Amino acid sequence: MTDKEFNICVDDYSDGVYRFIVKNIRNKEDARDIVQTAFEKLWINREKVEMLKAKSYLFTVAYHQMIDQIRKKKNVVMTDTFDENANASSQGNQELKQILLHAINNLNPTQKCLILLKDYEGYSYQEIGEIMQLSESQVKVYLHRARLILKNRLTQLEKISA
Amino acid sequence: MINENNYEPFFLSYIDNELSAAERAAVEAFVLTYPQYAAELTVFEKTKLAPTNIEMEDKIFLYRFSEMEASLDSDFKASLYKKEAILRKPFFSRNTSSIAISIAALFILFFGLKFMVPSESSSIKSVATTLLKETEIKPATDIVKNEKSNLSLNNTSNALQTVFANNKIQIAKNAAPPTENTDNKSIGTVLDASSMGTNNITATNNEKSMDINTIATTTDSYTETTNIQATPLEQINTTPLLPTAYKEIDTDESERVINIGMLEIDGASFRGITRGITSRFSALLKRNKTEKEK
Repeated sequence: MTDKEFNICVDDYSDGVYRFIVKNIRNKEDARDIVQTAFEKLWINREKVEMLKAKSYLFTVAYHQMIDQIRKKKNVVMTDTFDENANASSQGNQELKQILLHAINNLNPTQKCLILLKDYEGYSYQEIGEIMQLSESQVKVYLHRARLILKNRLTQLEKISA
Repeated sequence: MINENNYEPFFLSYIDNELSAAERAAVEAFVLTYPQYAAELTVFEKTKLAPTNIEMEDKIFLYRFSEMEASLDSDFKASLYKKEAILRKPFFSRNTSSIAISIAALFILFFGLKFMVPSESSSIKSVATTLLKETEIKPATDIVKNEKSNLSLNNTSNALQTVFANNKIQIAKNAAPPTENTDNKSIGTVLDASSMGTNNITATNNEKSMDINTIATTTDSYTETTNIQATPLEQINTTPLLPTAYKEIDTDESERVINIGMLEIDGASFRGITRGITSRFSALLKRNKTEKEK
């Protein structure tokens, strides 16, 4: 990879990597640091990484950096419970998108990453598996489980609003 | 194919865009066939996040150019290295030198006391030898010889008696014992011996000489015990007796004077100095120990 190609990667993927990280850890400063680290590693290994694999490489590095940071700070809530009172209070005030984001934030980190990589970046199961070091079937099962959780939350919300 | 029992995984794969075109068409046909499941597919579609326009700030810092990686020649770079002067720690620090000095001082004091100050037993010996030299004890055999010379075979019993009487008196006069009890006893024995000698004077000359020998032995033993100067009988009347010198041995440790070479040091003050040195030395060791622990 030439320096020109590298800078094209910055233009094309930096926002996506940043979005993926900042949605997970909800801290702009930390997300910027992780993106910086990911592109630093890509620059160091630019002779080994092909242009076509650059996006996957960036997300993989960023994902692992984020996991390390989560383990250090332990700032991610691992609970899967849904606060119905909070949901009821937000019913009249917030839109469906905000409720969905709230529900996504209550998913476990793996499910949250899967949703973000799939919906924001449009990665295939295989690509997500490469980034997160999971098999394609694991990605499929975990992602479907996360979707069902979100669907149940939204169904509960619709029932309450109705 | 998709049916009412397995529609859910198809719906999930449909919204994840993981189905082939034929499978997607089958799902859409299924929803048209069973409209009651259309609402469920709509809910699944709602679980998808809409794309956002979040952008990375300060993206400019991510750009890289090859010129940024330009590096200097290795030889030139080597010439830029600087080495900080290594500060060598002195072999003897302040603490170690003070400890060494104090140990050396203690050694010197110890050996000085050991070799320069005479011990009690040696002082008693030296006093005894000087006393012996001063009193000049002469062996009892001399007395016997003198007596033999004085006592010839032709002497009469009266002459012998007078000689013995003189001898007794002189012994009694010369006897200046340090203690009265021992002296009285020894003098008594002498008197008994002399009286025995007078009783046997009437016997033969050989018997007389034997008696004299017995007297001589008694006087010899007396001189050994009391350190009386025994002089020949001829000189007893003529030479004056030397006064006996006694020297007190100082056994009180508190008033003892310590001699180190030409110096005379008071024992009490010297002990005070040594105690002070040892207490400071122990305090120094404790302080070093605590510093090491810290």
